[in-house]
Parts: sequence; structure tokens; C-alpha cells
Amino acid sequence: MCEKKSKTSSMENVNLWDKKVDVTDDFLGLTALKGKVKLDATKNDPKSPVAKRGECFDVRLDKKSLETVIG
Amino acid sequence: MHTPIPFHFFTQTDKASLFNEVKDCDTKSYIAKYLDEIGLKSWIVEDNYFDTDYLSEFSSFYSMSAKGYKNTCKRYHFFSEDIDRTFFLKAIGNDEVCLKKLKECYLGFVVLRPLAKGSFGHTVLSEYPNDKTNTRVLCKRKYAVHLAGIELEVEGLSWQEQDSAVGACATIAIWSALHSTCFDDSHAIPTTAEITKAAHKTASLGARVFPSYGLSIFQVSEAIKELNLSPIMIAGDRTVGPEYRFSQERFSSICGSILSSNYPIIMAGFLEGCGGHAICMTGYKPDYTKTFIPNDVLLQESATTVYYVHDDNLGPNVRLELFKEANDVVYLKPVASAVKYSGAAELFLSNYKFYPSHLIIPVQNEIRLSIDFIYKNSMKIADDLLNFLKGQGKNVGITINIRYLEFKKYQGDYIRQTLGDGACLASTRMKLSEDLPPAGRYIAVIRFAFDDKITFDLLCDTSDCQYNNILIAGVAFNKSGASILGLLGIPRVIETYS
Repeated sequence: MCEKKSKTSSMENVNLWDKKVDVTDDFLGLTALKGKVKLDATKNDPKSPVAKRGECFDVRLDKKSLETVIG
Repeated sequence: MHTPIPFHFFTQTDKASLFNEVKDCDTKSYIAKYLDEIGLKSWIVEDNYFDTDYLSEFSSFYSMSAKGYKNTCKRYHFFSEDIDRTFFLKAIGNDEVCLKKLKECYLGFVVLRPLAKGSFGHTVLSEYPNDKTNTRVLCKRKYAVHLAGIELEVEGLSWQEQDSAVGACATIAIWSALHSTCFDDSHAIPTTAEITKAAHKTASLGARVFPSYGLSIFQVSEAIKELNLSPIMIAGDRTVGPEYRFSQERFSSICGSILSSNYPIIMAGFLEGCGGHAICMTGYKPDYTKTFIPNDVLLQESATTVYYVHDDNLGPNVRLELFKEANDVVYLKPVASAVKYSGAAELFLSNYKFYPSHLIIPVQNEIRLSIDFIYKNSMKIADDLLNFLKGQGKNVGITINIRYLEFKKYQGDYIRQTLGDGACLASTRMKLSEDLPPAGRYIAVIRFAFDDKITFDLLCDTSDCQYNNILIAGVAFNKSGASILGLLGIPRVIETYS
């Protein structure tokens, strides 16, 4: 029941919701492209590794499985 | 007829007699050990206690039994200091020091029902000590407890043992989850009897209501709907024979997003050696040790392996760890803990292996957007951005984290946490109020980081169906964020830095 004690490095437990931003940052340097390029996420390559991973979030429910009794 | 019975006071020397009216079982040994862990030093027993849930169970089932069950329960109150009768009298006499100490050392309560099976009724215990990282995320709430005219408070989430007459595991898992999700201004928390009846109202197909030996997953969903909430139903993305199973990426990402949005999860699946089982997942320990990978997408919650569940066969906040089989099918198992359980609980835990097949999340009716849809489309956007940036010679890694939030909380605590206090916060809060069309009560927020820099949020309307345009706005945290939102053609961009 007691938690195992673990050592933490400075990289651990950086939650995107707890971290403050640097609002002055333009680290990607894309400002010049603003308004000139448009991406269309609906035209992804379905064979790309990331798109394939995304398929695991596309599961249709089989109604038969919903009849399974749990108790 | 009931007769008056005085309170009983017990100290550490009486520990061997704790719950001595209950036969030895997994639950008894787990809870005794749990109480040890949270620092139990003394307890008070109210022998005459009317428990709302048990009265509802009594009215629906036990009152008609020839056995002659009592309608009263015993309620145990636990303390982390030595509280005897003399001290207690001082506290309830409003002695400031004693009352403060009594309130501070309250650890919670256990209701014991007068039943041979399923004695442990409504139980709320404070959580056991966290480790140094203090990162545990638990769905919990405050409970006000009244004892001899004073109000004590405990923070936790209700748990009880199944009695297999009014409620089996599925009923109890729903009940625990709704103690958090229904804790608002527009819902009433149902009793176990009400949940089982709700499950049978439209989906029983001829099955009798009581005794209840279990519910189908259909019935779990129907009960949630009957109780004025909506079920988000998620099946595993792997199959083993006819059964659904989960991959780690899908399981951990979804559970992390849902639990951090403060929704407990009813988890249905297969408990090895027992069959179909349902438990209520109440929390997790986020693992953010996995950092971004250049040219790849990291779903930030996907590395999580530690979860906390209320299991009606065992007790509250059971710590389980996620393991993977060769085919990327995950199962949950209790980890070797610093504490050894004694007796039955140790045997039960050592054989425990749970394969989740479905996640059922009761949410407010206004939340119509599926978490699956949000994840799938976030991956698409991230993939597109990676390819574009690669073409620009920029090999960055993208990290995504998704939550359902009340709009007021996003505009309140969350945006403050990200921006800090000052002019940027003020201007962003005003823009969120003045520059957006009216947002619903709940939004889905997709947070994107590029390498280790938080870059933008996408705010999605949860009150519409996924086939309509659900994007409310993008919130850019820096110029790079605004540029990317421009590339994506997001119609409304709130710049937090200007």
C-alpha cells in the first residue's frame, strides 16, 4: 500500500499543465510563413507511423461484447 | 425495538479486536492494514447508526427476508491520535484545542452492515501517505461527518463491499464513481439499490432485479443514463478471441485524460480465476519521465503505469500496476509494496490479474464529444505538423495532453497556472470572455508542446457532435504557437503574449 520511494531527476514529473510558458519565445521561427501556408490534417498519409498509432483511438463498439455480465 | 447504546472508545491496545464481529476475509485484512498505514491510533464506534445506503438496501431486499435483519448499522470513526472518552467530551463541549485536534486527526469512517456477506458498507478513508514526488492524482471530495453534534471532515471517495443481493461489483463501481461525478448542484447521489433498479429499468431482458449477481455492460450504461448522466463507452483496441483488450497507448492516454479531468472510470474486464469483473478507477500516478522524441508524437499520459482502484472485493485505493503481454495487451496487477498484507488479502492480491476490456465514464449530459475522437484528431494534426516542420528542416518532438474542463476552470486556475500572474493573464482572461462565441459549460482542451515548450491549446466545444465544427479557438502561448495556429487555419486565435 505504501508508495515505493523513487529518485527523481530534474526532467521527471513535468506536467504540461503545471509548467509556465515563456510568452516571448519564437523558437520555431515560423512567423514569416504566417498566412502563406495552410495545412490540412484531413489529408494525412494513412501509412505514416503516427497516423497508424492514431488508429488505436478509432474503435467501434461490438454490441455483443456489451452483453457480457460482470459481477 | 432498538435500544440506546453508548459510544465505545478503543485505543491501539485493542487493535486485535478491530472488526471482530466480521469473519476473516480479504476485505477485513486489507482495511485493517490500510488503517495501519494511515496511522490509526484510536477509534469510536456508534452502535446505532442509520445508513442511507443500507436503509435503501433494507427497504428493497432485506426487509422481506425471513431472517429478520436489523435496519441499523455500526459506524466506526478512526483517528490518528489517542482519543478517549474524556478527551472527546472536552472536544464536543467546544474546548477549542481539543476540538481542533479531534478534527485534524480524523481519518474517516466505516459503516458495518448487519450482514453475513458484505459487512463493509459505506466507507470513506483518507488516502495513504504519498511518496516524495507527491504526484498522485485521485478523484476525491470532502465528506462532512456528524458525530455527537460536531462536524468532522474527511477527503476521499466512497467505497463499499458488494453484498451480491442488492449490488454486485458493477453496481458498486457505478456507486463509487457517482459519488464524485454526481457531486454537483444538479444531481443527487443514488444509493446502490437505486442503481441496480435503474440498470434493470430498460435493459433487464427478463432478468430479476434482486438478488443482483451482476450487470451487463449494457445495463451499466443504461443505469448511468437513467440517473441523468451520459456514459462515454470505450472498448479496447486489441482482441483476444472474442474479448476486447487494451494496448498501453490507448489505455493509459485515455485513463490519464479522464482521471485528471476528475472523472472516476468504471472499468469492466476479466479477473483471472474469477471471470467478468468491474472496478472503479479512482486515480493514477502520472509518469512524465518519458520526454519528447524528435519527429515523433508523445501522448503524455501514455507512459503511466500506476493506477488506484476501488475494488469491492478488497477495499479502497488499491494500488495496481500496468503490465504488458507480448501482443501489447495490458493487464493490472498489485505491485510489491513496502507493506506485506497478512492473511486473506495477501493471497487475493498475489493472484490478482485484471484484463480491462471496456472503460465506462459517467459524464454530464452536456459532454457529447468522445475522448477517442479528440485523441484521433489530435494525432492527425500532430502528424501533419511534424511532416511540415520536417520539410522546414526542423526536427522537433510534439507532446500532447488532453483534458475535459469546465470553461470557468480553464479561464481561472489553468490559464493562471500556465501564464502566471500579471498583464498577460488579465488580457488572456478578457479575450477568452470577449473574443469568443459563448462557450458551453465544458470544453475539451488539447495542449500541444513542441520539444519542451508549451506552444498552444486547442479549445473544443463538447456540446456538439463530432461531425460539426467543434473547434472554438486556439490559444497561442508564444509567437511560434500563433504561427502554427495560422498554418492550421484556426479561425480564432487568442494570443496570450501581446
